[in-house]
Amino acid sequence: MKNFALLIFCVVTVFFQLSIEGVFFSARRIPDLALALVITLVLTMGFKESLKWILLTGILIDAGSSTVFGTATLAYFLVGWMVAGLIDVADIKSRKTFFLAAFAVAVLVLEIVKDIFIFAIFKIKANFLHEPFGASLNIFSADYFFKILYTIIAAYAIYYIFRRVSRALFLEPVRLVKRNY
Amino acid sequence: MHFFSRKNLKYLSIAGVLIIVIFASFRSSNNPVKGAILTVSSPFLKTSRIFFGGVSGFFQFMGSIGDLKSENEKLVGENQSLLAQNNRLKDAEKENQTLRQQLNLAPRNNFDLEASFVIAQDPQGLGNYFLIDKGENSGIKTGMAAIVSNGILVGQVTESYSNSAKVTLITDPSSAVNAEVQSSGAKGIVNGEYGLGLKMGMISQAEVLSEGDTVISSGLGGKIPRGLTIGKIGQVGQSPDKLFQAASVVPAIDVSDLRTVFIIKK
Repeated sequence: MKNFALLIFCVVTVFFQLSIEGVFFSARRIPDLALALVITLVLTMGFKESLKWILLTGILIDAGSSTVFGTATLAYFLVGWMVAGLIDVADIKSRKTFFLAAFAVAVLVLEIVKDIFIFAIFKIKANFLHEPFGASLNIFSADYFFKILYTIIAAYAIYYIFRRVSRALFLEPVRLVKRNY
Repeated sequence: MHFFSRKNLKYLSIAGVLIIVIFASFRSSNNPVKGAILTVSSPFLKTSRIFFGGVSGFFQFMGSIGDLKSENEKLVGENQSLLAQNNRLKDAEKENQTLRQQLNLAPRNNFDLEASFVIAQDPQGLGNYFLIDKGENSGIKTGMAAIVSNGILVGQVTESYSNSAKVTLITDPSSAVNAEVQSSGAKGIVNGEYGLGLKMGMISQAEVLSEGDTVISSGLGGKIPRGLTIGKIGQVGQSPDKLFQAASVVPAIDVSDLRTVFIIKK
């Protein structure tokens, strides 16, 4: 039941990001729901427990993405690992207001790191194959600001939806992971 | 915790495998895993896109009720001028047919079009492409041109799977279309610019370009048919090496907000 519910949650999140968000947001302002999901999974279940779901999310995103196959999977895997490391050094769940701020900062930093990583892979591929470089990333543009803003809002939404759904469906309470991944 | 602990070594090996997958995927654009996932998910992506497109359209309609009166008046005026233009074009078409008969020219080809829905866009927002719900099973092949109903070029099929295909927009920096300025016949190459703009380069210094001139596909190279509208000439300038003229091109349509496209099969 728990695995099935998690599978549905991951697939629905990826579907939203691949298909439905494009109806409501312009192409360059699409919030990264998969990143929000990865952070949520690691914060609530721990990195080890959520590893297979992170890899599944990454593969699904890779299937519908313009990136080289495997790039998104590796990016989300590294993000998950970084979040686990973050939990290891800071108890970001200690106070609600602190958590909200720390969560937003984590999403902001990880989104930028992830995009730079994917952009670098694009660039390496273009140089490697001597082909035209077809990606653009401008961190200081209005589009990118809104993308980050929407991703932070989406991350809050996914985190709280996930917590509620997990309590209702996973039967066993979700372990809050701290200093243990 | 020691970095090279057993647990971390496991994670490092996963990262290593993923890096190998990335390098192995560098040369293969048609990844079988990608194709299989897209084949399975394509009907669901299409259904959800259409449903939420309808929901979005409903709310947009509700929000625009206040503007309907002025918009209606504007459309009535536009309709009258289009009717007049249509009559003129019918007359020109008749004249064209007569002249073609007299010159023994073959009639212009009608395109074999495949209508398809846009089902997904780039989830990372870094590239300029979208996925459509038709693929090899419907005769879609790499290199085919994608247009909207009134003959405006929006992109080219760059990857084709059994039931879906990837269309790279003309605004993508890697895209290059052989183009021509309709009024003067000046030839050049239209490339995508970072963001959503277009640039026409490699135009001879001898050509005269004016702002507002229509740019169409020239048909050179054979992949994209001649006569598809690309946009209008914006600012005219020089290429960095001053050997050619260059101009910005204002796209004829907002390619980032498409719901349906047609693929030219022949």
